[in-house]
Amino acid sequence: MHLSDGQIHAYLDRQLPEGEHQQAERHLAGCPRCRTQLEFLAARVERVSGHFTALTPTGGLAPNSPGRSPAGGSAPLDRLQSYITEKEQNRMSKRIFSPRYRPAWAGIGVVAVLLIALTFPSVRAIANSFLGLFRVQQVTVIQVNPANLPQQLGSSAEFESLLAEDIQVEEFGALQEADSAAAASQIAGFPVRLPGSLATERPLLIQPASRLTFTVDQRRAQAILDEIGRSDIRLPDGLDGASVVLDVPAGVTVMLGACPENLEAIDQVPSDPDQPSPPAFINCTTLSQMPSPTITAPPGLDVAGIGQAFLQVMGMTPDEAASFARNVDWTTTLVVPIPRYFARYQDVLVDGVSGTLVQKGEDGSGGEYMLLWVKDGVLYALTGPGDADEALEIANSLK
Amino acid sequence: MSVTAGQAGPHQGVNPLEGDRSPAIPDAERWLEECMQQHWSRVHAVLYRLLGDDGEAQDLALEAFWRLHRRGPLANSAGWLYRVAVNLGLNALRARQRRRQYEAQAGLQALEQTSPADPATLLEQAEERQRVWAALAKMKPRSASLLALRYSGVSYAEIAAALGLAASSVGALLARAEAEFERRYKGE
Repeated sequence: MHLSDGQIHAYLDRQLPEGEHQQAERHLAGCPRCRTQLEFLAARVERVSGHFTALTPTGGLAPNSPGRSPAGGSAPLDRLQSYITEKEQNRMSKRIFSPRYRPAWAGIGVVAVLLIALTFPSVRAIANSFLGLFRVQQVTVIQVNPANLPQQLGSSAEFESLLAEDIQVEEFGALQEADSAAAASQIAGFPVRLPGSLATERPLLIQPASRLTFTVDQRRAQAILDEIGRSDIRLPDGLDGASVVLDVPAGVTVMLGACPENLEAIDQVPSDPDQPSPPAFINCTTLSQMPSPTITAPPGLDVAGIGQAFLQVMGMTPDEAASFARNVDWTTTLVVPIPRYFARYQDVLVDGVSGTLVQKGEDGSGGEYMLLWVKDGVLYALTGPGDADEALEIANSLK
Repeated sequence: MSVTAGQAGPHQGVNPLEGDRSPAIPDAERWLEECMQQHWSRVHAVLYRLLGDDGEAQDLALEAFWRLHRRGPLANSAGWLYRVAVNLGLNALRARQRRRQYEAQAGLQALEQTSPADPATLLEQAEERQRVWAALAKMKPRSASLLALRYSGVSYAEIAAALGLAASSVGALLARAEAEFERRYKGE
C-alpha cells in the first residue's frame, strides 16, 4: 500500500497526526516509489512557496506597523464599532441604489430572485422533465428588514461554488452601441423608446441577450441552507439535477446626465454586493428596458411554496410569508425586496399602466428613485436623482 | 458548517426572527474584543498577501469582523473568520484583475510603498506579485482559498474548519491546488 499524494503532502507540511507521521516515515524509508513522489511534490511545494514569498511584506512594509494597524488595542475596536454603525445604516440602501446596479437592475433582480428562490423549493418532488414557462408580466415590492437577511450568504463558500459551478451563462453576442432608438431597436429586436423630456447625448448601450442555466446540486443547496442557519428547511429528494433556464433578452440602457464613463464599472455583475461601492454618480439617470425575461423550469416545481420560503429568508414570519405568497401569481410576478426603513414604495400610474415607485429614505425624501413597470411585454426600470414628479415626468415622456 | 451559535434564544432588543443567529451573550462586546485580539493580525496577514495593500487589507479585515459580529459567537470563530476573509480577499482580487488599469496602479502603489532598494529587483518583485495574483484570480475559488490560507501559515486543521473540509483531505486538495496554480501561473 503506497502513500497517497495527500498523505505525502501532509507529511511534508508536518501536518500528520504523530503516529501517522512516524508510519509514513517508516514507509518512505523502504519505498523508492513513494520517495520519488515525495521529491516531486516537495519540489512543487518549493516552487509554489517561492511564488507566494513575493506576496509577503518585504522591507519596511510590515502589515502591523504600529500606529496604523490595530493588533488588539482599543483603537481597532473603536474603529470596528463605528464601522458597524455605519454599515447597519447604509448597507441595504447602498446595495439597492448603487449606480453600478442600476442599468442591470431588472436582469439582476430576476436572477437574484431566481437564485434565492430555487435554493428553497418546498417539499414536493419534481414530476418529470416537462417544462413549465414563467414570464414576468408585473412587478411587486416587498419590504424586508435588513437585520433579518441571512448575512452569511455573501460570504458563503458554497454559494460561491454554486455561482461558479452550477450556473452556466451564455451571452449571445457582445455589448453594442447605437446612436438612435431606431438603430437600437434594430439590434435589440424590440421597439426601443426614449424619454422626450431629457436630451440623450450618449450612445445607447445594447446588452446582449443571455441565458443562465442553473442545474440544481442538491447537496450544495442543502449546505447553503445550513450555512445561513436555515437547516430547518429540508430539500426534497428528486430535485437533484433539475435544470432551470433563465432567458434574459437583449436589453437597452440609456444614461442621462453625469454618468460613469467606464462601462465596466456598471456592467459587471458583482459577486459580492457587500464590496465597497464605487464612487456614486448622483446625477446619473438611467433607463433600462428589455422584453420580459422568462424562466423555464420543471412543472412540478411548487412555485408558491418556493416563493413562501424565499419570503421567509427575506425575513418574513411564516404566517406573513404564507399570506403574501398566496396572493401573488409567482409565474408572472417579479418580486423585488426593498429594505424597510431605508426606502418607501408606492403604486403609481405610469406610462398608462400601473407601476411601482421606490424612493430612498424612510419617508421617501432621500432624493433618489427607482421606477419599475411592465408595458406591452417590456420591462422598464428608471432610476435617478429627484422626486416622484421628476421620475413620472421622464417615464411619461417616453416615445 | 455547523451552526453552533443557534438555539440560545434572542437577547434583548433583537427581533425574535433573528434569535437563531444571535444567542444571549451578555458580554458580546467583550467577546468581539477578544476575537480581535486573537485573530486580527493573522486575518490581516492573509488579506495582505491577497491584496498587497495595507489599507485595503485592513478594510476587508474590518468587514470580516463586522460579519462575525452580525453572525454572533460561534464555536470556531477563527475558521469562520478565515473563510470570510479569504472570500472577501479573493473577490477583491478578482474584481481588480478584471480592471487591468487598476491592477497596474496597485502594482505601482505597492512598489512605492516598499522601502527603497534596487529598482530592478523591485520591478521584478512587482511583476512576480502580479503574476501570482493573476493566477490566483483565475483559479477555482476553493483551490485559491486553500493556497491563500496555507501559504499564510494556516494549519491543516484550521483550513479544514474554515473551508468545511475533513482535515485528512486537505493534503490531497492542496496538492491538486498547487498543480492548478502552476498551470495558471504558466498561463496554460
